[in-house]
Amino acid sequence: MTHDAVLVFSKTWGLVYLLVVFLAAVLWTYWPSRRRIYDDAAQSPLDGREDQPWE
Amino acid sequence: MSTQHQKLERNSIRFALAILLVASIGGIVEIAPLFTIENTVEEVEGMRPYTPLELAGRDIYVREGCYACHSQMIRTLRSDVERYGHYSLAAESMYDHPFQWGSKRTGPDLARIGGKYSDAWHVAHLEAPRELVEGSVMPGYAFLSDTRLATGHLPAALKALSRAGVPYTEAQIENAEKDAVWQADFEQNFEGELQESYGAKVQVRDFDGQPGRLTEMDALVAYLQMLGRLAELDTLDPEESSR
Amino acid sequence: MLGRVPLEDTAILCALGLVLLGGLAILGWGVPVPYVLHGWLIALAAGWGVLWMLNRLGDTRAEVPQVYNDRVIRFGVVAALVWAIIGFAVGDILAWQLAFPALNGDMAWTNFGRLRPVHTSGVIFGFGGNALIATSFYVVQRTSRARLASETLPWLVFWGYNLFLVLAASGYPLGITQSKEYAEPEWYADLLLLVVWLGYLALYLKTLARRAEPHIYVANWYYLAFIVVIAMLHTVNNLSVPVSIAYPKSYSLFAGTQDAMTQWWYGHNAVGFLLTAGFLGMLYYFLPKAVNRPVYSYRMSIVGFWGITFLYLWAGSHHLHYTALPDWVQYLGMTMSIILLVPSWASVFNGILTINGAWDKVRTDPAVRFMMVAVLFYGLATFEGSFMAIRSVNSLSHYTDWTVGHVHAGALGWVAFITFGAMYKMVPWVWQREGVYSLKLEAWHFWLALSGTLIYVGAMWNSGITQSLMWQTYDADGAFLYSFLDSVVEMHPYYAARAVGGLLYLIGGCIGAYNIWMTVSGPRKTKTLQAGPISSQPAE
Repeated sequence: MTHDAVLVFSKTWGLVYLLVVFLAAVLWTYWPSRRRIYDDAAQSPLDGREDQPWE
Repeated sequence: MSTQHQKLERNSIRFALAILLVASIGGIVEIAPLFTIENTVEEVEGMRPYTPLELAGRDIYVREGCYACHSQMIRTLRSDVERYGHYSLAAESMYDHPFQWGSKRTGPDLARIGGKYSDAWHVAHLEAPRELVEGSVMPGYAFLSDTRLATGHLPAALKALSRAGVPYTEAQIENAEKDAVWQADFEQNFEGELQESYGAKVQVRDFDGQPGRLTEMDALVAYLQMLGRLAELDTLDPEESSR
Repeated sequence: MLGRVPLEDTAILCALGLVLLGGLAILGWGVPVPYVLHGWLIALAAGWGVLWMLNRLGDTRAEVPQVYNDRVIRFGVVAALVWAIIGFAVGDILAWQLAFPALNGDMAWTNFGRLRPVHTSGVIFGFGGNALIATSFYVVQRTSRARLASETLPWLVFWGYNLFLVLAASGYPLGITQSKEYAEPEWYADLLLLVVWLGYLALYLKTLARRAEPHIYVANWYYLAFIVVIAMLHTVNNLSVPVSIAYPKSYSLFAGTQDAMTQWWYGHNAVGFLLTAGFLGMLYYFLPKAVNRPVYSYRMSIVGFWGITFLYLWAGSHHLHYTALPDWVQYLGMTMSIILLVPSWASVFNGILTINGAWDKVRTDPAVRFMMVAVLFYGLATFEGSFMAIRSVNSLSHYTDWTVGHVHAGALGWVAFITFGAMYKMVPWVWQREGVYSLKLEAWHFWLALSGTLIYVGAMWNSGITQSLMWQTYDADGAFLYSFLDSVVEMHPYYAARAVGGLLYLIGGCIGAYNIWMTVSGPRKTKTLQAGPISSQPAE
C-alpha cells in the first residue's frame, strides 16, 4: 500500500463514510415511527418515576 | 428474565462498540498513513541518535517541563523562519521519543538554539535568567549545576529506545555510561572514540564550567548545544524539502 | 468455597492482585526515592483493596439495599471539590509566577515547568474527572431506574482513579513525567488508570443493562462515549517502552511526527470526549431537571451526539498547522474542525431553547444561571476553536496566549460552570437536604467566577494577539521591529490581570466549596422520597 493510495482512499471513501454515517444517523433519529420513543425519553427524567424505581 | 437481561446487556455493549467504531475511524485514517509512508519523514544527511549525555540532557529538559514554554518546531511561516532559521524537517525529530515540538512560546523556539550562545552563557542564563536577560520570566535552574548526573540507567535507557526503533548499536548501549562521562571530560581525551561511535559532530568538552564534575547542567547544555545542528540543510534537495 | 465466588469478584481480585504485585515490584526494585514511595502507595492501596474484597466475600449476610447507591457519589463530589481547589490554586500560583518570575523560587519542585501539569491534571482529571464519575453514577442510576450493578466496582473505580491522580500530581513536582501534554503520568500510573477505566466501563455497561426502561436516555450516550473513547485514546497515546522496572522513566513508542500526531489526536479528543461529551451528558440531564422542562429537541441531541462522535476524532491535526506534519493531514483536520461547529452549536441551541420558557429561573436560581452561562461559553469556545483551526488564523494564534485564553474559556466558562451548576442541584439530592445552604453565597460564587473568567479570557486575547503581531511586525527594511524579549516584557500587565482573574475564580471556588460543605453538614430533609430500607445504608 503506497502513501498515495492511502491518501486517495481516505479522501474519497472518507468523505463517503462521513456522509453515510451522517445520513444514517439523521434518518434513524428522525424516522417518524420513532418519534414516540424520543418524546417519551425526553420526559423520563422529569416524570417522577425515578424517585420510586422499584415500585 | 435472564434471557431478556442478556439481550439488554448485549445491546449496551453493542452500543459501546458502535461508538468505538465510529470514533476510531478518524484516527485510523489520519494517523495510520503516517506510519506507512516514506515521505512523512524525508531523508536528510546528518541525523543520528542522541549520545548518552545528550539523551540525559533531553530527559532533564522533559523532566523540568521546558516544553511548556519553549517550542522546538519552526513552522514554514516567514516570521518563524526569519527569526529562528530554516523550518524544521520531520527528519529532525525522527529519533525524538517523545517529540518536543511544544505548544506555547512563552519563551523563544529552541529548535536551532545549538551553537548560538556559548556554554558559559547557557550556564549563567539557566542559573539566573534575569542576570543576563532583563525582563525574562524564566525560572532559575541553578540546582542543575549542583546535582550530580545520574548515569546508572543510561544503558537501559538506550536499550529501551532501541526497542522503540532508535538504531543504537550493542556497543553504544554497553558503553552508554562511559560515553556520557567521556563527552563531558574537560581534557577531551576520548573525543576520537566518541566521534567514531556517534559521528564527527559530537561535541566533547566540559559544558558546565566545573571541570572534573559531571552535573545535570553538563547534560542539559550538551543537549541544547546540539539542537538543530545535525541535519545538513544545505544538501537538501529543494523539491524534497518543499514536499 | 472458591467455586462459589462470582465471576466479577474473581476478576476484581485478580486485577487487585496484579496491581499489588506491580506495587511490590516497584517498591522492591525501584531506584529513585519518589518512585519507590509510589510503589508503597500502590501496594498499600491494592493490599487494602484485596483485604476489603476478601472480607466482603466472607460476609455472606451482606444484602444489596433496594435504593440507589449514592454514597460513592458523595465521595466523588467531595473529591471533585478538593481537586478543584488544588487545581485552581496551583493554576493561580502559575499565573503569578509568569507575572512575577521571582515567585518560582528557583527550586526544582516549585518551578513553573514542573507545577504546570499539577494544575492541568488537577483541574481536568481531578476536578473534571471526579465530577464526571460522580454525576455519571447519579445519572445512570436515575435514568435506568436501577442501582449501580456492583457493590464493589464503584468503590474501586473511585479509589483507583484518585490513586492515579495522587500518583500523577505528586510525581510531577518530583520530576516524574513523560511530557505528553495532558497525558504526563508515566507508564505505571497509566497502566493503573487503564485497569480502573475498564472497571468503570464494565460497571457502566452492566448498570445500563439492568435498566427498567427500553430506551437509554441520551445523557448516558454522552457519558458512555466519554468512557469508551478515553479508554481508546489513553491506551494508544501512552504506548511506551519503560527503561526498566527500576525507573519511572519511559520512552514513547512513537517518534517525532508520528508521536506529535498521536499526541494531538489524543489531546484534542481528550477535549472532545472528556471536556465536551462528558459534560454534555451532564448538561442533558441536569439542565432539564433544573428548569423542569424536557430537552428542547431530544432528536437534535442524538444527531449532535453522532456528529461529535464521528467528527471530533478527525480534528486533532489543527494543533500542528505549518509544522513538519504532511499538509494533507493539516487540511483534513482544518476542514473537520470547521464542520464540527455544526453539531457543537446544535447543542448550544438545544440548551438555550430548553431554558426558554423558564427564564425566571435564570434570575432566581443561581444554579440555572451557572448552566446557562456554561452553554453560552460552550458556544463561544467551540466557535473560537473552529475559527482558530483555520490555517491562516492559526498562524497568528498558535504558540501564543490566545490558545491559553481559548482553553480557559472552555475550562472555566463551560466545564466548571456546568459542573458547579449540576453540583448545586445534585448535592442536596444525594445528601437528602432541603436545598443549598445559601443561595446568596451561590450567587456570589457565580459572579466571582464569571468576572474571573471574563478578566482571564480578555487578558489572554489581548496578550495573545499582541504577542503574535509583535512576532510578525517588520520595519521598512524588512527586519523584525521587535525582539522576542520585547514581546515578553509587553506581556506583564496582561499576565498580572490574568492572575487577578484567576484569583477571583479561586475565591469563588472556595465559597462554592464552603457552601456545599455547609449544605452537607446542615439538617436532613424531613420527608424522604426514597423507597426501600434507607437505614440499611451505612451512616455517614
